[in-house]
Amino acid sequence: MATIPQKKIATGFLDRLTDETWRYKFTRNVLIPWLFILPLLSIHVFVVAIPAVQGIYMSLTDWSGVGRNVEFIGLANYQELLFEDETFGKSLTNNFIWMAFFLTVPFILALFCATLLSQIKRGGMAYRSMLFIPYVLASVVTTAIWRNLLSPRKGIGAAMANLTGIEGFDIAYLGRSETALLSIAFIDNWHFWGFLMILFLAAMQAIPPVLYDAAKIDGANRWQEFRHVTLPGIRPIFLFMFMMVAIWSFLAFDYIWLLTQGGPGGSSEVIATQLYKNAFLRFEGGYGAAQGVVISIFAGFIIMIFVTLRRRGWDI
Amino acid sequence: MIGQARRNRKPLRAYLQPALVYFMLIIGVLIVVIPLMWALAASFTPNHKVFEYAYPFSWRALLPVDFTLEAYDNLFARGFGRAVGNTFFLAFVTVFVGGAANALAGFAFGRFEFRGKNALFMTIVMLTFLVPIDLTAIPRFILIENIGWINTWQGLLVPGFANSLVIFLFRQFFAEIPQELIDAARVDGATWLRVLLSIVLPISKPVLVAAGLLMFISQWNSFFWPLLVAPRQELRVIQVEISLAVGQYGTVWNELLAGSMIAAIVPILLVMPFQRYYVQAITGTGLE
Repeated sequence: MATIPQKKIATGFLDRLTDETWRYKFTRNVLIPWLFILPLLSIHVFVVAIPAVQGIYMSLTDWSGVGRNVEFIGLANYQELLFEDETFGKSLTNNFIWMAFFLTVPFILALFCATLLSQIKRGGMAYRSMLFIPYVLASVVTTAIWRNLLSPRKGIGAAMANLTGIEGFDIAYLGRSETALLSIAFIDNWHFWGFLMILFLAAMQAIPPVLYDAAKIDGANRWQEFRHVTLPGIRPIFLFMFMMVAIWSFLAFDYIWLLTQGGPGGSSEVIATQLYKNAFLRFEGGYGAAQGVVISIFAGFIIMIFVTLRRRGWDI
Repeated sequence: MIGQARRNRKPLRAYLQPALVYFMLIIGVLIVVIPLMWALAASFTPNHKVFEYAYPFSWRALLPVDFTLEAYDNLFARGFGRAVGNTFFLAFVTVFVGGAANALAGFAFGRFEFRGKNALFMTIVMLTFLVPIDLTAIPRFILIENIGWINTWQGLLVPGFANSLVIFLFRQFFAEIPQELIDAARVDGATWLRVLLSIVLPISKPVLVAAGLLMFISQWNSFFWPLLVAPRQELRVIQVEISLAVGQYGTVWNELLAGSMIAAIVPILLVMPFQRYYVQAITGTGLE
C-alpha cells in the first residue's frame, strides 16, 4: 500500500522536471550549487589561490621576503637558479635520489608484506594495525625517536657494534655527508611504508578469490599467481600511489628539515629546504618563490606524463 | 610406505609455509614496535638513565625498569597540558567547521550539474596537490599578517579548513547515493540543505568517519604552520611544544619522548578502531 502513492508522486515529480521554467533551471543549476561551494571556495581562494598567484608573481621580483620594497626583475631569478646556482643542481639531484628511493623501497616492502598478510587468516588485523601505527605519528615525534636511535654513541649502531664486535656500525648516520640523506629517507620510510602496505592489502582483499582458484586449476605457481592475478588486481591503486609518491618526492621537506636542515655541508639539501632557507632565513623571498615555482613545474610534469600515458591507451 | 610418505610430506609443507609467513611478519612488526617501545620505556625512566640499557643493549631498554612519572610531571608543570588542550580545540573546530565546508562543496560537486564544475574541481584539487606548501606559505603568511591574524586562533585555524582529499572523498561518496532517495525528499518539499542534512548525512557514516579522521589527524600533527603563525605561548600546539623542547631542553630526553608519546597516543587510539573506514576512503579515492 505504501509504495503506490510514492510511485504516483514520483511520476508527478518527473513531469515537473520536464516542464521546468527558467527560474527553476537557474536555481537548480546555478544558484544552489554555487551557494554550496561558496564557503569552501572563499577559504580556498584566501589560503591557496591568492598565495599561489602571489608566489608566482614574487618569483619575478627581487623581493626580500619582508617589507614592501619590490622590484620586477623578470626571469632573472630563474636564470640565476638554473645557470649560476650550484647548490640548486645538487639539491635537484638529491630530490631524484629521494624519488628513486621512495619509488622502490617502500613499494617493494609494502608489496611483499601485503602479499604475506593477505594469506593470513588469524591475527591479520593485529598485524595490520601494528604496521600502520608509524603512519599516524607526527614527523616531530618520529624524528625525536629516531634521532636517538641513530646516534653514534647510544643508538642502534652502537648497540650493534657492541653486540657483534664489528666496528663501523657506530657512526653518526645523520652527521656524515655520505649517509645523511639515505638515513633521513630510511626514517621517513619507516613512517610511510605501512600506509602503502595497508592500501595494497585492501586492494588485494578486493580481488575475487575465484581468480586465484582459476589460476590454481591452470597450474600456476606462487610467482605466476602474483604476477597474473595479484598485480593486475592492485594495479589502479599501485599506479596512483606511484604517481603521488613521484610528486611528493619534489615536495620532500619536513623530515629533512627536522633532522638535518639540509646538512651536513648541503649533503641532504633538497629544493624545498633551500626554498625555506631563502624565504625565511636569508631574506631572498623572490628567489625562494622561484624555487617553489620550479617544484610545481616538476610536479606538474609528472602528472602530465601520467595523463599522456592514459590518453595513449595505457590502463592507468 | 609410499602412502605414509605422502601423508607426512604434505603436513610439513602446510606447517612450514605459514610459519615462514608469520616469522617474516614478526620481523616487520619488531622493526615498527621496538623503536616505539624504547621511546615509551624511556619516557617513564629518569633522564640520567634513559640510555643506560641501550648501550650496551639489553632487553631492559624496552621496559621501564626504573619506573618514574618524573618526565610527565615536569612536562605538565611547564604547561604542556595547555598545548594538549589547544591542539584538541584546533582539531575539533577543524573537523566540524572545515568538515562542513568540505561536505557542502562535495555535495555540490557530486550531485549537481553546473557550468565550469569540472574545471573548478580540478583547479581546487590540483592547486593543493601541486603547489608546495612553502611556496604558498610565504604569501599566505604575509596575507595573514596584513589582516592582523598572527598569533590568533583564526590564523591558526582557517588555513586547515580547506582539504582537497576530504572534498574528493565527499564528492565520490555523495555521487553514488541513489537518485530516488533524493527525489523522494525533494517531492516532500525539502530544501537542498534539508536533503543533505536529513537524508544524505545519516547514510554517510563511512565517509564522515574517514573525513573526520583525516582532518583531525592532519591538524593534530600539524607543525610548520602553527610554528610560523602562532608562536605565542598561549597558542602553542603539541608539535610546536615538543620541537621547542629539542632546542631549549636539549638534554631532557625523557621529557621529549614523554611529549612524543602523548602526541602519538591520540591518533593511534583514533585510527585503530576506525582503520577500515580510513583505508576504504583512501583506496576509493585512488581508484577514481
